[in-house]
Amino acid sequence: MSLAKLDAKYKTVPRHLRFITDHVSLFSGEEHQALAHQIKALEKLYLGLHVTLMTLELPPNTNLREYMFWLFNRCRFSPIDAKLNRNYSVVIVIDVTSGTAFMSTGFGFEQWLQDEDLQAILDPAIPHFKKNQMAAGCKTIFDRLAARIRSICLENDRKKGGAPKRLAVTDDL
Amino acid sequence: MKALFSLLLAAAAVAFLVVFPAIARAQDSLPPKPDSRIADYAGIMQADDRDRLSKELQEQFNKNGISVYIATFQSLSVNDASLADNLRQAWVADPKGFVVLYNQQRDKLSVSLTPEISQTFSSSGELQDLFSQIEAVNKAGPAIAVPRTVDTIINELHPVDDGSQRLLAADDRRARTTFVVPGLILLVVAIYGLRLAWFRLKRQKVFEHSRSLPIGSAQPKFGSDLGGTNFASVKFR
Repeated sequence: MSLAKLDAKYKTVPRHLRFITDHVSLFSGEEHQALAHQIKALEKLYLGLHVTLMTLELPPNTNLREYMFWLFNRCRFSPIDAKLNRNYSVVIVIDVTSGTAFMSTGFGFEQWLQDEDLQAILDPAIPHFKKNQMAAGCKTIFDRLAARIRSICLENDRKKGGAPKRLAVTDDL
Repeated sequence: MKALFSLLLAAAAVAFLVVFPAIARAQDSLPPKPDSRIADYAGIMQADDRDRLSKELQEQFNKNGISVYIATFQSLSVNDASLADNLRQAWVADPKGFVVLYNQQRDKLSVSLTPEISQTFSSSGELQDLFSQIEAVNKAGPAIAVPRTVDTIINELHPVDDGSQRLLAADDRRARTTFVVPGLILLVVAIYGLRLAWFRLKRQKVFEHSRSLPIGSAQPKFGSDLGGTNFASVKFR
């Protein structure tokens, strides 16, 4: 389905902020602050990376893959010049209606983060989500995402034949 | 006729010989400068009052630099005002000062001011008012009139001294401003400099650890040039 048809289907894009948009108030103030700090630290490590977390209450039986594609392209979570292979956006959405967390990335990560990679990032958060520890689940997702991106960079350095650049973790900042 | 002329001439000579030394003696034999600033030859003041007033005059001199002397006489053979001037010239060495002279026989107060004080009053037109006030206090009797005269003159001089105090205070403020304002500016500049240095160090630390992400290849899909095609989800409820 094209974006124009999805526009007609989903109509107005939800209000969204740069780092975290908590429409259903899943996080406390401290949790919100801690998660935003983690995202900022991650983005400082990897130039061009844009991570956004959003919580929504979608209508029942919403096609999440389709909705994510529409949301990703219409909300434009990345700068206007970040297109195709330079778009390193990562969007994570938690839908409380269906009790589902889902994520997608920009074309810059398409080669490195396939569907199964994304699944591996999301899966460790399930126990936390089941205990209704939403912030802890999101933190786990960010940690796994940071580790995966780090391994991507190191792997890329090895493929180029040069010595891999020492990479810090978010805790260093 | 000749004898009469000779007699008059002799009388004039005798009178000259008698009066001139008296005048000269009166000019030369000024009383000595009193250490207590009060020469009460008429004895109009009690000893306690005299000591208290003497102390006040000394304090006035230490505080404002106004040198005040008081002289009282039972009677005088010379003009009160001229004697007051002579005493002032002999006793008051400072630029600011005056002598208050009291003649008990005539019950009259005379005041002689130094040119600096006199100029201060005459320039502001207050000298006449000052002497009017002195005339008014004269009616209270010498024991009260003399100290009050001193007080009146010093009170009139106070605005001048207050002005000096204000100038001194202004100098102090100026001195403080000279050092405090540049000091504050330096402090603000230093704080901003430190903040800038801290910010640069932090940015440097960030860029030391940061790196660019690998650039792959990508083609537009489904009319999108941003992404959102790869997808994963987990159900937790």
